[in-house]
Amino acid sequence: MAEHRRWHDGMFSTEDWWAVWIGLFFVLLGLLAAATRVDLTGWIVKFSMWVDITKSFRASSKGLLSPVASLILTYIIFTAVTCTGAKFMKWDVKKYFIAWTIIFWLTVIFYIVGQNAYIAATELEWKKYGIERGLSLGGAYYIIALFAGLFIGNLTPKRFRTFVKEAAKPEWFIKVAIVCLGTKLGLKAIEAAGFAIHLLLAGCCATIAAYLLFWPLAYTVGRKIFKLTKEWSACLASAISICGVSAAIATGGAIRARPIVPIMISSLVVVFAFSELVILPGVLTKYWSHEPIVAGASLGLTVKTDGADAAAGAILDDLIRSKVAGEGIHWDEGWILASAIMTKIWIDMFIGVWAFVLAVVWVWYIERRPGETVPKSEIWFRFPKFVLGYFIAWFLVMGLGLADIMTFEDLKFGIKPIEGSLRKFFFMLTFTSIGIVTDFRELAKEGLGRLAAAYGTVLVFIIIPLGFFLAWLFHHGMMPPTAP
Amino acid sequence: MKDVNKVEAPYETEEPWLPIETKLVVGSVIAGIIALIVLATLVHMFLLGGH
Repeated sequence: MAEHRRWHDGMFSTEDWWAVWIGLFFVLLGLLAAATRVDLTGWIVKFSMWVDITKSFRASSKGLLSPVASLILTYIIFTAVTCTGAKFMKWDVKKYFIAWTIIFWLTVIFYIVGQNAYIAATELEWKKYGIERGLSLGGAYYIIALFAGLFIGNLTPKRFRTFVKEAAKPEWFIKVAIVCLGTKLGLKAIEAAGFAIHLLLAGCCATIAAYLLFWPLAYTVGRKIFKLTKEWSACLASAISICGVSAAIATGGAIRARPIVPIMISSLVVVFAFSELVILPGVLTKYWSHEPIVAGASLGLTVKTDGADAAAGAILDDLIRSKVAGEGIHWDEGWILASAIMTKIWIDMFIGVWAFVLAVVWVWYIERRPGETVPKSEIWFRFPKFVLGYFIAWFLVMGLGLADIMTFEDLKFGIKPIEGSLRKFFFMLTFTSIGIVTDFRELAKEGLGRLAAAYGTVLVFIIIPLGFFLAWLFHHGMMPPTAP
Repeated sequence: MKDVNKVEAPYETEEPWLPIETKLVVGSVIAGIIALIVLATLVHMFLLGGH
């Protein structure tokens, strides 16, 4: 139990911590490149929109390596770092390595296909690529990876899909990407520090209000309408109002629920988050493209896995910017995504506090175990550690830039491949993996029907409308800086 | 003992709604509404006014 744990337990054995180590490894590599002007990060493969397939990828630093050498070096280095993590986490490294290799190369294919100009180029870009028609799908590569992953996870032979799942780790990949995203926010904050701070504070305020309203309403619906027990209803309420899988597990631990409870709820979280990922960016683009930060924050408050939220944010960022580009407005890339992630980050950060509160409430009021105490260290153990990596990366880059220790150009030179090429590739890995691990058979399992109905009802009638309202209330009128 | 892997568990027994649950739910909602009003006012005064 918690009282026997030390503060540093899990630092080398959990996905959460390994996202921090891998993310910060690349961030520090970028900062070293910025400090020395030695191109230590330019080897990372960068995928671009293409009509001629030979121009579909290249090294981030033009001319540093041939495209194929860059791709192979990226594979080798990414494989080395993730396999190191896998070994420390005591996974079956051999199986992980083979499954990772399959996922890596499939993702490369999905990325190249999705970047084809006939599929991805917006109307404004057709001329640039010498084409006269196309699907104008923008960030279609994410959707292609998602659906291809879904095909693998649901329709390929069971032996194959079970094996590939060994390396399909959407939460891990997205956390690495989010740590790297911190550097992007750092770079942006140097140019627009005031806006970044406003986004941070507004996201925090929206999250506090959301926590206090979502949970009791979801719990009450579970208990009163769907007649769930306290144990099921509490885990369901945490999963749907806070942060999906992690919250369900944290709550399960806090109230000492049976292991099956958070596990079953987690499967629902993944399936519903997938549906939100497909539906919400399109809906928000259609109706809220004039309130881009509100739209981004709406995702952060309503999509309940980090992977699906960041993925939906990336799609939304592309879709909204493509749409308004037609009206002559050119917002800087990444701010809409940042607003989606910012609110989600706050939600993640409060999991520890909320799990602690629930543990206290359960021990003192619901189950009445007099004399039993809940150690405050529970807050630290339940705190999502990748958030530390995100803030370290953000404040490190911003601090070095604002304090004039490094010039903006130097920072951009070292960091750009990390916040751009690397981060986007880990996003792509996340999409492929989300598809692979999303098993629609779970919904058909006996016993899940009523739980799924409860989850769907709360999501559609409480979380989404209230989340959209809170996002609007705390962010309306905020506009991303325009592209330089 | 509860069966840890029994899938039908959500419906196995109907637990009565306890008075303490009412207190906690109502307390949280009231705290949420107060937080909403106070924080929204602060955000409007100090943040959104500038955009």
